[in-house]
Amino acid sequence: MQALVRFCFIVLLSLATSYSSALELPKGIIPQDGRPAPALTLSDMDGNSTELAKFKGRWVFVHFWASWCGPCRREMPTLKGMMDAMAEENFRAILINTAEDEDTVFSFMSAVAPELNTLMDVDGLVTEAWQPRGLPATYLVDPEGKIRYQALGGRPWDELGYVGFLKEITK
Amino acid sequence: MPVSAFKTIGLLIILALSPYSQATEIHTSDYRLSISPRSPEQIGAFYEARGFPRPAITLLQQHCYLTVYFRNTSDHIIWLDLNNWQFRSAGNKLPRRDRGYWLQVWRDMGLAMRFQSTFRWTLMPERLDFRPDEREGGNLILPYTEQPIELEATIKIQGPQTETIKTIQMSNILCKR
Repeated sequence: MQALVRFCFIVLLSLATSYSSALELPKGIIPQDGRPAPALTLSDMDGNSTELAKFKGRWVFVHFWASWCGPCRREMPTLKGMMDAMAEENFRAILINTAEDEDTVFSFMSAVAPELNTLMDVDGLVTEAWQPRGLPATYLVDPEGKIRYQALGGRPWDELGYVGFLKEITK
Repeated sequence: MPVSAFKTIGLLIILALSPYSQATEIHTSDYRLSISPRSPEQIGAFYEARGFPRPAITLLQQHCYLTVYFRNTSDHIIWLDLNNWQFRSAGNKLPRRDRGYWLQVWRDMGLAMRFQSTFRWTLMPERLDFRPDEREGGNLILPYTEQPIELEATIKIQGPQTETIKTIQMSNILCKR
C-alpha cells in the first residue's frame, strides 16, 4: 500500500512539474485577460488583403513594427527563424507596418528580412485600435480570437525558449 | 611637465565644469533613465527621411526636443506617468507639449494621418506600467529655451504589499540649437 501511495505521489508530482514547465513564460511575455482581438483587415504591398477573423481556429502572432524603431530592426530576422520553426503548427504570423509608405517599407524589408511579407497600416488606425505599449509590439491571439499574451519590446523569437513556448500553446 | 600636458589638464577641467558635461543619465538599482537633447538637424533628418512636410518639420525644429529612455531594473512594476514630470527653467514652469497639444496643431495644419500616427509613436508613452526589465524610449517636447532645464519627476514602484514613490531630479538639461 505504501509503495502504491509513493508511486501515485511521484506520478502526480511529475505531472505537476511537466504542466508548470509547459506553461513557463519566456522573458518579456505577459499573459493578457483574453479580451477579443480588435478587427483587422489590411493589405500587403501587392494589394493582397488579410483578415484576422479568417484565421479563427488557429493561434495568430500579430506583430506591429516600423522601420525607424531600433528594436524592430534587430528583431525582424528572428521572426523569419521562428516562422520557419512554426511552419507545421496550427499557427499564423501577421506582420503589420505602422504608418509608413511603401518605398520605406520595401527598402527596409529587402535589406533586413527579404523573405518576409508585411501588411500595411497606412494611416496607423489599426495599430491605434490594438493599443500597443510601444513598438515593436506582439500579440498572441488564440483560436477563438482572444488576446492571450503580449510580448514586451523586441524578443529573440527564434531562440529555443520562445519557439518552445509557441509550440506549447499551439498544441 | 610639458606645456601640452597643462593644456590637456586645463581642457579636462573646463569640460568637467561645462554644463554640457552634466549627467543626463541616472542609474539606480530600480531604474535607468537617460535624457538626450536632439539638435534641429537630428530632428529634421529623422522626419525628412519619413516624408514629413516641411512646415511640420520646421515647427518641430523650433522646440526643445528631448529623447527619453527608461528601463525598469527592479523586480517590481514601476509606474511612469508624465503628468508627474515637471520641467522648470529660470524659475518658471516649462509646459510640456503633450499629445493633445500636437493633435490640435496637426489638425490645424492638415497633416496626413500616417504622419500623425508616426509622430505619436515617436513620443514617450504618457503613462505606462514598466514590467521588470521592460524598457521604453520616446521623445518629450518642450518650448525652446536657452536656459538650463531642471526636471523633477516621481515614479511609483509597486511592490507585492507596498507602493513606494520615488523622486527623480535632473538639472542642466540643455536644449540643442
